[in-house]
Amino acid sequence: MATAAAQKRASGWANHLGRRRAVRRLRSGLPVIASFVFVLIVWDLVAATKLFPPSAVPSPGDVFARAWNMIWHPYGTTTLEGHAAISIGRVLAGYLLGCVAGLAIGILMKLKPITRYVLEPIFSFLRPIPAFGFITVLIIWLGIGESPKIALIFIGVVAPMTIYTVTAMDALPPDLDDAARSLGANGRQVLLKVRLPAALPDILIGMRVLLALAWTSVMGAELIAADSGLGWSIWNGMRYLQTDVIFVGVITIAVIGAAMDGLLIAVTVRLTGGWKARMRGRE
Amino acid sequence: MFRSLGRHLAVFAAVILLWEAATLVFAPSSIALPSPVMVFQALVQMGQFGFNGVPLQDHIGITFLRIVEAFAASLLVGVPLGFAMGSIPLIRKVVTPFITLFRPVPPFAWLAIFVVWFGIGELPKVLLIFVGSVTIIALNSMDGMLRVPAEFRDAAATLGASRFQVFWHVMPIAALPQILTGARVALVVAWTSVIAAELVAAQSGIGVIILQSAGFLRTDQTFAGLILLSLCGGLTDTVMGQLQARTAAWGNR
Repeated sequence: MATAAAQKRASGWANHLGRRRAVRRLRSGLPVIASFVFVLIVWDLVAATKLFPPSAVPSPGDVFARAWNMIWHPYGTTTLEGHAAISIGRVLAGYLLGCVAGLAIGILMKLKPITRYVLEPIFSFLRPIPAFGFITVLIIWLGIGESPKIALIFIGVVAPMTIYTVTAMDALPPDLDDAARSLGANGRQVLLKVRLPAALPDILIGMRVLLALAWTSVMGAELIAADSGLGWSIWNGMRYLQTDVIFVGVITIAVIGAAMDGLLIAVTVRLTGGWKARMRGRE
Repeated sequence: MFRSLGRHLAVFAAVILLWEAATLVFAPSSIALPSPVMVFQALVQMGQFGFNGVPLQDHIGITFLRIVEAFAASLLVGVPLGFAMGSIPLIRKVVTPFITLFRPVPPFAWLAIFVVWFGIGELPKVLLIFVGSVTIIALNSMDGMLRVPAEFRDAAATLGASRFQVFWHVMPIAALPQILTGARVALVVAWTSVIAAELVAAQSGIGVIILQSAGFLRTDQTFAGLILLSLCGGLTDTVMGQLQARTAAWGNR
């Protein structure tokens, strides 16, 4: 079939683009590694001058030793990887639920304008409130278990995800809309088969922003009424002036956050690479 | 924004009526869900007697002060840095990897380090807001600088402008819409940061009302605090949106 050939050609394009992207990423990664080494050296030098006590500026060696210790011996309720697993679980649960719900609400708002009429003002009211502002209310409603923490991340993700979905679906190039309609598609078909796929790249970009936001939210969720998680480790380190623990927590979150971000980029390229290549072929 | 004001008011009125009806029908404990009337009373009461011995306007004022100080500082640092990155490739190549390196660190995480280093005074709070917003402003200023259409520069040069005059008189104006876009995003992040800072260690501010009222099981005050927060954050965002709309005429898109 002609479409199969076109698809094959498109995926060939995507692979080609992917490879070029990989080379570019490697080349653009070098300055980041260099800056990392630079920061590490400056940090070690500053710590070595002993201008600041180790409780303020622990050396990179201190931080590594603390991390090593936390891997083998529990810090609080569990080990470093235990805290990491707990935080990752909370982030993933709240983030994925929030993305799915936001996508569903966004599509509903496009399908049924009345829902948009009602929900848009409510979202505009909720938008200026950072998710962790709700932490105390959520604890009163849901207790001190996992549910208020996951709900907190969910709240932070769902409202912007809805807005991203609606905005992305609003921004369909008029010629695509016309083309679909002239081929006999009705409003609902245009919405679900043209608008939604065309909006996917923009929605995925929004999801990248929200993943970073979810990691900020989990730190808020683990601030109050928590006894585990990377955020809890950081706050506990702050309360007991264990600055090395703070650094271990911050660096672990940064590494996991960057890895999840990279994963999401890979998914984005896989999902929309062929789509973009087809768009390019159309031009 | 103002065109849909009537619609917003209608929806809010409906939500408040439903909420009041729900509290009348299901009669939940006021700790779990206070009625809208109770929330309004709590707001009025805080207006009269303050919260925790601090007048309400001082709580709001100190939160605004922290935002204004940090936001002004991040504009003062971020815009020139962005311009430097936009016009001098060497600076761009040196600074960008550092921004990439530190970007995955959640702004919230800086707070723990700042509290250990600078205590619980104003400095760590303002610094947290600054760190969260300065990179956004710098990156957008750089982007705005890089995306100024070449015709603008060429036109000015044809009319006899020197390179310095192009840099000084043409570029900032042409990049302004993009700078304001960055500033608007940064301001939203600033509100997030200030509430984070006030939840962790503060004596006054809107975040303190939200946190401490819950400690006294005064959920009505918590809700009042959240509404205040939404109004204040919404206000600054609307002002930025209006500024943006005025410059959009010569924007990039």
